[in-house]
Amino acid sequence: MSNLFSLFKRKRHIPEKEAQPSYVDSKISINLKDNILQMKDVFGDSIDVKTIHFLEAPIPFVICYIEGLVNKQQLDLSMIEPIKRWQIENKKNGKPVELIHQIEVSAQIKSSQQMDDIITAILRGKVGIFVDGLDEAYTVPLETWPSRSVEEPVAQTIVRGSREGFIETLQVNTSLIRRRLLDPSLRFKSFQVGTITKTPIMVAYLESQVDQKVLQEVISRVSNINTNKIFETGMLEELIREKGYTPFPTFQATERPDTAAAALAEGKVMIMMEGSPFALITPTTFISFFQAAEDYYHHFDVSSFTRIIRLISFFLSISLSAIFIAVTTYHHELIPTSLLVSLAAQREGVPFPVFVEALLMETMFEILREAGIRMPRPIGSAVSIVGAIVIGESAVAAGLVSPAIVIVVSLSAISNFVSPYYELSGASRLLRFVNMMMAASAGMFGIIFFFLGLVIHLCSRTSMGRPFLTPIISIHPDKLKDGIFRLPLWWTQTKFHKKWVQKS
Amino acid sequence: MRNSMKFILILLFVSLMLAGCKGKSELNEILIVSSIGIDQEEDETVIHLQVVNPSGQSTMQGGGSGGTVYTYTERGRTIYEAVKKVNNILPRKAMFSHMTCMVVGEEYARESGIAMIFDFVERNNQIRDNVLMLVAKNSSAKEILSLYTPIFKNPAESLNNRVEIASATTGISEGMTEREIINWMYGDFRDPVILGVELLDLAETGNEMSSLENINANNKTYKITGLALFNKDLLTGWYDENQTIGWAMVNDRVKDPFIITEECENEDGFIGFSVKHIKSNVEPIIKDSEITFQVNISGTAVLQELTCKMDVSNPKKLIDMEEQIEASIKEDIERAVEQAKKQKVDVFGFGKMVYEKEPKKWKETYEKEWGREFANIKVDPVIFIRMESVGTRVNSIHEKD
Repeated sequence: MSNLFSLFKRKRHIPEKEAQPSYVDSKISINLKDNILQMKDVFGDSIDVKTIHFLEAPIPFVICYIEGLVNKQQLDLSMIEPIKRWQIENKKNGKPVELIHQIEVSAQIKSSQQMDDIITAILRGKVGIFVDGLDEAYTVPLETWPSRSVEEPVAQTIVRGSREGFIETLQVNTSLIRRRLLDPSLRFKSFQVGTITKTPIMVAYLESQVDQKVLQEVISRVSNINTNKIFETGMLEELIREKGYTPFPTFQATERPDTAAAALAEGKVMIMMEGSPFALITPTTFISFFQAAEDYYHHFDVSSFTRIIRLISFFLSISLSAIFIAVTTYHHELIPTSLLVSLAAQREGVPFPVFVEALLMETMFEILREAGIRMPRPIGSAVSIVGAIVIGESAVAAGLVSPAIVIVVSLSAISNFVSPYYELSGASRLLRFVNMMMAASAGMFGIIFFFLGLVIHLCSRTSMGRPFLTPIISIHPDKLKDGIFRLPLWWTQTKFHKKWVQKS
Repeated sequence: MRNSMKFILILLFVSLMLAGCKGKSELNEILIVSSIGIDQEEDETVIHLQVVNPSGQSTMQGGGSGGTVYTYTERGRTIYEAVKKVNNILPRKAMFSHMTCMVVGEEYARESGIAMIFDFVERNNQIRDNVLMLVAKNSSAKEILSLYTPIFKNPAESLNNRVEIASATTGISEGMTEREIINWMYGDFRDPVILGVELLDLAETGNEMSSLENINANNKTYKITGLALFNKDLLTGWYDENQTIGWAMVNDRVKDPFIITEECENEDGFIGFSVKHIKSNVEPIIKDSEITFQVNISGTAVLQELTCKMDVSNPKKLIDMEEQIEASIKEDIERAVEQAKKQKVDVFGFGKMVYEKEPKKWKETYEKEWGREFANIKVDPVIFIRMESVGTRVNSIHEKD
C-alpha cells in the first residue's frame, strides 16, 4: 500500500544532473575561425541561423543572428553600415576593440568570454558579433518579433473598466503593469525555467508593500523548478503549488493588467511568463475567486450584491443537482405537496432513477461544453443546435428524462460560470459529481458529509504559506470589509492590507 | 500517521457505501396519501386511504389519465391492521408524510372513540402531527372522501382550504390538528372538540370525475359546520355555528373577521357586522366553593349591511350597535357554556385554568370531582366592542330624505 502512495509523491525538489552540451564551458577563442567552427557545431546547419562572414575586411568579424527575431533594417543601418564605413576610413590602423564602438544602438551591448552566454543571447534574438583578435564576443540587442497587439481580454470580460489585456510578450506586459503603478519600488525579477524551453519568467512585486516571506517562498519555488519544458503559466502553477491534492486553483490567473496591478498594490506577488497572456497572483484566498476587477468600479452595494450572487451560484453549481437527488429519493417530506405531485407526475414513465437521470444530463452538458470549445469555429453553430435538442424539450419528449431535471442541470451548469476566474468552474464541476454520488447513496446526510469534508479540506489548504480561507476563518472585522461584501472605498482603503501582510 | 489517516478515510467511505441507498425510493415508486378516513362497520374499523394519482393531477403534457385521487378501503380490528392489509391492494408503497387531513366518521367517533387513532398516528414516523382532524357529521368518512369537488383536484386540499374560509361563520380560522387534540386529551384535563364537516346534498354525491362537468356545484361540496363535542374520546354532541363562535371567543382562536347579523330595533330589516381584531383572555376567580370565569373580550366591528332606516352618523346609534354586538357575543358564549355543562364536557379548558391558578386546591378537591364541579361553574363574559367604521357610505341606501 505504502509503495502505491509513494508513486504520487512529489519529486520537484530533487535536482537532476543532466548531460550538458559541449559548448557550456568553452571560451571564446582569439582565432575567429575556431569560433565559426564552434558555432557551426552548436547550431548545425539550421537554416534560420544566419552567420554572415566579413572575413575579407581589414579586421575580420562574423555576425550571427536568428532570422525572424532580429530587426534586419536596424541591423543594416546601425551595425553593418557604421562598421563598414569605419573599416574603409581606417584601413588597417584600427584596433579590434574600436570596431564595437562603432555600433549605434540605444541599448546596452554586452560582452562575454563564455560561448554559453553568447549562444543563449542569440537564441533570445540578440545579434552576436565575433571579432578576430578578441577573446570575447558581443551581443547587440536588436531583437524584435511579431506580437499580438494589446486587445480586450477574452476570458475575463467586464462592462466597465480598462479594455487592455496581457499579451504573449513579456515586455509589453511589464510595460502595462508599469503604466498603472508608477511607484518606483515596483520590481521585476527575471528567472529562466525549462532546460529545453529556457522560458523567461518574471516575478513582480512592490518592494514597499510585499510580504517578504511570501516573496522568498515564491522565489525559492520558482528557482527550484525542475522541468525541461514549460509553455503556459498553468504548467508553472502546477509545478510550484502546495503539496497535497486540491481541486481548487491555488493561484489567481488573470489576463487583466488592472487586476494584476491592484494585487501588487495589495502586497501580493505576481508571476508572468513569456508566451502566456495570463499572470499568476499569489497568495490567493478562496474569496478572491469571487471578486472581479469590476466590483471596485461599480457602486459598492451593487458589487456586494453581485458577490453574494456569485457565492450563491457557486453553492448551487456544487449542490443543486445533489440536493434535488437527495430530496426526491430520500426526503419526500421536504417537498411541498403540490410540487411533489407535479414532480411525481413528470417522473411517470421515466425509466431511470433520478441519479442516473442527473448524471446523464450533466455528462451531456459536459460533452457539449467541451465540444463547444474544441470545435473549429466555422461549425461552432452546430453545438447550439445540438445542445438545444440534447438538453431540452426533445430529451424530455423522448422520455429519457423528466423536465425538472433539465431545469436543475441547466441552472447548475450555468451557475458554474459565474465566477470571474474560469479555473474555479473546473473545481466546482468535479465536486458536483462527487456530491451527487454522496447524495445518491446517503441522501441529505451524504451532502452534509460532503460539505464537512469540503470545509475541512479548504481550512487545511494554504497558498504560499498563507491560509486559503483568509478573511473568512480569521474573524477580523477589518479584513471582512472587502471579502464577501465590498464596502465603500473610503472605508476599505485604510491601511489594513499592509497590516494583513505584516501580521500574517 | 498518514497511512492510518488514509485507512480511516477508506473506512469512512466504505461505511458510506455500505449504508448507501438504504431507504431510497424514487418518486414513481411511491404513492402519496393525501388523506385518511376512518369509519366503523359492525365491529370492525374501516380505513379509507385517499391517494393522489400524479398523472391525473398534472396540468401539463396533454393532461393526465384517470382521476385525480383514488380511495382504497380496507377493514381490520385495529387501524394498523387495516393499514397493513391495505398494502396488499395498493399499487405502490404508500407514503404518509404528505397526509394533511384525517376524517373520522360520526359513527366511529360515537362508538369506538377517537383515542384509538392517536396511538397509531403518534407512533408512525411518517405522519405529521399537524394533520387536520375533521368529523363527518351525519355521514361516514367515506362519503366525505369520495366526493370530487370543483376547483380543487385534491379533496384533502379542498377540505383544508374550506376550514380557513369557514371562519366567517364559525370564527375558527385554523382547524384542530392532531397534536392539539392529543395535548387537550392527555395534557390539559380537557375534553377535545373537532370541527365537523357535513355534506350539503346527501341525495346525489359526485363521486365520479364526470360529475364535475355539471354546472350545479351544490351536490358536490361540503360545508364546515360547528364543533363536535367529545367526552374524553367519545362524541357526545354538536355545537351549532353560533355556539362555535362562542367557543372560539373563549379560547382566543378568532383570527379572521366573522359575521354577525342582528335585527333592527323598531323596524323591519337587519344590520350586518363583521367583527375582527378579537382578543380574549379568561381569568378564573375562585371564591370558596364557587368558581367564576371572567372572559374579557375586546374587538372592533365594521358595519357591512343595513336594510332598515337608521342614522348611522349619530354616535348614539353606534353605541347602540356596539351594545347589540356585545349582547350577541355574550349570548353565543353563554349558549356554548350551557351546552357544555349539559353534556358534562369541559371543552374550554377551565379545569386547566383552575389548576394553574390554584394547583394545590385542584389536586386536593377539584381534580376528582371536576365532572360534578363543572356543572356549577359560572362564566361572566365582559365584552368591549368598538365600532371602527360604518363602511364607505354613511346613510342607508333605503333612506329617502
